[in-house]
Amino acid sequence: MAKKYVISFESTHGAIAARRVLDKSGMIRTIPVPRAISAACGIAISFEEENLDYVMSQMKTLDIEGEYELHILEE
Amino acid sequence: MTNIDARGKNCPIPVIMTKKVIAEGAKEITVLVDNKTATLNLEKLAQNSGMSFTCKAIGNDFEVVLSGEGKANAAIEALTLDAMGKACPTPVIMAKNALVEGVKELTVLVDNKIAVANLTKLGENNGKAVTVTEEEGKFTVVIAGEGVAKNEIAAATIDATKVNCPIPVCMAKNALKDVKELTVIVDMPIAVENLKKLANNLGKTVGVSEVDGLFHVTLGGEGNPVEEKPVGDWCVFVAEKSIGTAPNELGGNLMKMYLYTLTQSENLPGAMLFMNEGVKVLENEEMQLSLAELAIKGVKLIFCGACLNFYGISHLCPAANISNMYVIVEEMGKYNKVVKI
Repeated sequence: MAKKYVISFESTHGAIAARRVLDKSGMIRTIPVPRAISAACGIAISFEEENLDYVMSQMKTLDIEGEYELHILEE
Repeated sequence: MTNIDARGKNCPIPVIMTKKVIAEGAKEITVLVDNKTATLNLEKLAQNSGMSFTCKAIGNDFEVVLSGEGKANAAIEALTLDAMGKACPTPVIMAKNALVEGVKELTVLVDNKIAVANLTKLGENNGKAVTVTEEEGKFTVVIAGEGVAKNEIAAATIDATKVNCPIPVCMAKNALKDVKELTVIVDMPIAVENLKKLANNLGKTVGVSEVDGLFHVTLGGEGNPVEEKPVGDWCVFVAEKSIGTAPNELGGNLMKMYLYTLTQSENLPGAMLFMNEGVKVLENEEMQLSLAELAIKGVKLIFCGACLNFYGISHLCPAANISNMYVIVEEMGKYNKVVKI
């Protein structure tokens, strides 16, 4: 089964900031937070396992430590 | 007195329309066409049918009048098609339509080598002789001889390089309505992947080869017919590149999410119509991915030609997939629910 990585955010601003640093990489897709994670409407980003290290390193450059969560979804 | 409005129609359609009313016994026929080649072809038809011919220019259009006791079903001996500036498969579809009408000597004017190759294949497949002459990048292809006109295009190639997804997918789908074995030339791996998905969806076989850094993707085999029937009973009208007009980053992200979520939905729209800044979805990589998936699933994507032109991004969407207000209004009228985004 393919694994999909999803990051959800505490605030919409965090999500937008993350998107901004990762937009050019072509690695992420902007998706609604999957229902399996939360019923609330919100912005999340998803990416493939091979891009995990890069995405997480970029996340550390943002000043939103502890304001987001990484999820692994089985597809 | 019979009037025919054949403006916006490629030859041989104006000739076929006129031939039909002659067969029905019309004595005086007025035909409106928008190009010179059509008037020349109608003149030949008049001669062959024993009718008189007059032609006058009205603005950018031409009014042709054929009158007299016409001889029904006169063979169209020779016909010229002007397919300059038209991307494949249009020239080859025009030629096939003319050959099926029984044209003995068909001359097609085209401006690219892919069209020449496709027309040559078409001629050979019909057992006809093909001659090609070139002059300053313009090609004259003559398909002549007896042969048997087949109402199919066995094989053709289209050029989908320099365009972003979903356009190669839309072009391939369009061409597959008429072409049995289609080769699509693309320059991006993602387009190859999407074409594979399309082939899979249509039950066609797929082969990929790399030639000079370009990918030749061939979709062959019987497969399922490309259906005209819309996949959904509603349609989406996109007039912005974001959801809402507030000048912030949120709207663009919402649009990306919207398109992605549509791809995951069971309830797909039949068509999506892109106008004004909505056509800029073609500029964004994430949106391209979602649109390609929607096109593969059968959603009809229509982009406003004037809008692409206005924003200087016509190159992202070749002629076969751009559209005008007529088509957009027509499409909206087909659905009881049009959702404006």
